[in-house]
Amino acid sequence: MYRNVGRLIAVLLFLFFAGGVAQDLLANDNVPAHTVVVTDARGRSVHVPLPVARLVLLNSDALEVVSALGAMNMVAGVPQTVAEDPFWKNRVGEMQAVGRWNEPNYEVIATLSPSAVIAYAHQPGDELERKMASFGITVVRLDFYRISTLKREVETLGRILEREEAASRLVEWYRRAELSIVERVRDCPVRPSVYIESYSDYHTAGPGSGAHEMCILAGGRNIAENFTIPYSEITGEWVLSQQPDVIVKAANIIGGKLSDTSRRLSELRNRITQRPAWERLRAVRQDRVYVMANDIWTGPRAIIGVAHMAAWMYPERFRGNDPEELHRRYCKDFQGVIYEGCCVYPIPGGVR
Amino acid sequence: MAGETGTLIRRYRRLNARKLFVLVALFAIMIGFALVGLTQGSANLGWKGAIESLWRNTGDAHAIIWNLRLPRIAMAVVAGWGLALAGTVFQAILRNPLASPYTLGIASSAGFGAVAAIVTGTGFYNEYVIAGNAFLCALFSSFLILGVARMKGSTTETLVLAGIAIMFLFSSLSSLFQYMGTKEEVHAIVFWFFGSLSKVGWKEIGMASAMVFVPCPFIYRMSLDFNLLAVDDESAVSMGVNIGKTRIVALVLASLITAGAICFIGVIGFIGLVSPHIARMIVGGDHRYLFPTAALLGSSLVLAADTVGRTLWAPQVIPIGIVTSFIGVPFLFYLLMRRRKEYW
Repeated sequence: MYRNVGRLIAVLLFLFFAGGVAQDLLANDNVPAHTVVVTDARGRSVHVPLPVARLVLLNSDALEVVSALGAMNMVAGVPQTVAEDPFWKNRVGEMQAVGRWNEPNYEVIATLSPSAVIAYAHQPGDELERKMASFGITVVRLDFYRISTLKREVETLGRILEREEAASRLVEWYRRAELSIVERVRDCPVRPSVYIESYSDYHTAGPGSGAHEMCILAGGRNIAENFTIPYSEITGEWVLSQQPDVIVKAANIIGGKLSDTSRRLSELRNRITQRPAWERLRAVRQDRVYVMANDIWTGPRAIIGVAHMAAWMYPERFRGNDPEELHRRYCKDFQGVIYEGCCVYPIPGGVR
Repeated sequence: MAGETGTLIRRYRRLNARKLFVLVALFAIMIGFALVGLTQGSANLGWKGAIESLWRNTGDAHAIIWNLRLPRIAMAVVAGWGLALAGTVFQAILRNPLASPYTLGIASSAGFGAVAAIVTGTGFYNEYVIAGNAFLCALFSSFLILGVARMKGSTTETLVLAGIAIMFLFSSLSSLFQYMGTKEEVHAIVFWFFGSLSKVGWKEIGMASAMVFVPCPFIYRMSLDFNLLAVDDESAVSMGVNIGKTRIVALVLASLITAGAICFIGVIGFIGLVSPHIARMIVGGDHRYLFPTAALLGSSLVLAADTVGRTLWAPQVIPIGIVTSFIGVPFLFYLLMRRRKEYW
């Protein structure tokens, strides 16, 4: 009897110590090999423990960059809207939806146990950091929608995911595409004036918006360059008084099937040209009204939007240049998908 | 006795003459605001140029006046008129100073209709779908209120409570759509709730005017019934008013007017609440004068708000829904502080 009790105690002691050692070993596994310090979109220094094994993204633009860096296998959670986007629908598979970009489901994120969460600079608010801190999850704020900070943010993400080489390749591609535009428009004596209209009618995109940056990079002069509100309401009369050379309108359309997208984009364009008194606009008279789908309106593919804008502003200098070809190459080389849609109207080179 | 009656009649006539004078003065003020609005804008046409362009085809200036400034002014008049009139009707039939197209949930449901059209995608490409949806939802909520009104033992308080409940319901449904929408859709929804006169053309004004002005004579014909309703239901019934029918007809007409006023321009708050109160302070509770006074005040307020909104920070436009509250609230406070008697 006593011998059996002794054996039982011995077994329990063994299990207790063995468990403790195993836990220690596991714990040692969780100790980060090293930490990378990055500056996020809020200008804060964030310590990210490496390696990052699992990632939750609240930002669909971040998903595109992660995909371009070949790190989709790290993604555990994606924003809700991604599942409805034809560009992503078949690619995110069984990935867990974690709520909206500005209102995530913290409980779902916690159960996914990611190493890091990538979110926009200001949405959601500071509560994201506070809630994630209790689970030991690092929050990194990266926007990826501004062309002026895109390259730096891609490099930052490359460091976090330890995909520096892929990040350099993507940044280099951006740089080359940008350079080919900038070089052609650099010595232009007069910059064409552009009225940029955001998704809502009669709301322009001024300084502080991603579209304003795109216009400047494309060599244009935004007629709202002195505005203090990024997305201000304006009057049709003001546009008439400014007589812009070119009008660019953002469409809340995802560039899906070519025929469908073109029809919707052309409808939107017709509505702009038929606005009261706008037939007197130089841009309308000269048929220089263009519509751009939100695939390439800011975000990681904004450079393709910039290439379109530049071609619209300087048709002579970009003759024979097809920005949609740039788009197809990007999709093939960095996203691994064959892209056959069209994100602008009128379609460059006419109906395909 | 005959002398006393004669004095009373003379006083009554004097009072009516004073009210008529107020109406004429308010009409002149409205025209004045419209003229100021007509001459202000980014194109710097000046007073003379703007007025001249009304009659003479001066090229761009003529197009600016006729296609851009006048539609804004006309829509401001229609929207202000409609919201103020609807607010006065709601306050009269419910005998409640808090009643307005907003507190009864009719504006919220119209807003929900617009939001649903924006988020489901169709609305982006056709503003008529947004307007149609807004109208249908406004009618739906007014029928809901009617349903409550027909319930046994329903009082005016029940109606106001039902209205507030409907307002919360549709506000929540709008928030749900906003929550489900993409960043771009949220953007569009937010701007719809700010209100804007920039989008309207003559076609929209034609439709909105029909919805706002066609019911006006019918409402005006019920003025005396509303006067009796203001005393109490018993007195109204004893004087031969079919209170059930009056309330139902007035509710449907006021819903139609509300939908017409906001379906093309988005939400312009406060006018439907503040104009009837200001009008009541000026001309008293006689609905024969109260209706036109409130309507003229509503139009004048929206006109003034639009001119301020597009000139104060030009060329950036401060949304009309924000400016109406900025102008209307201090004005109401000023009148409340200066009032010498109970007006409600």
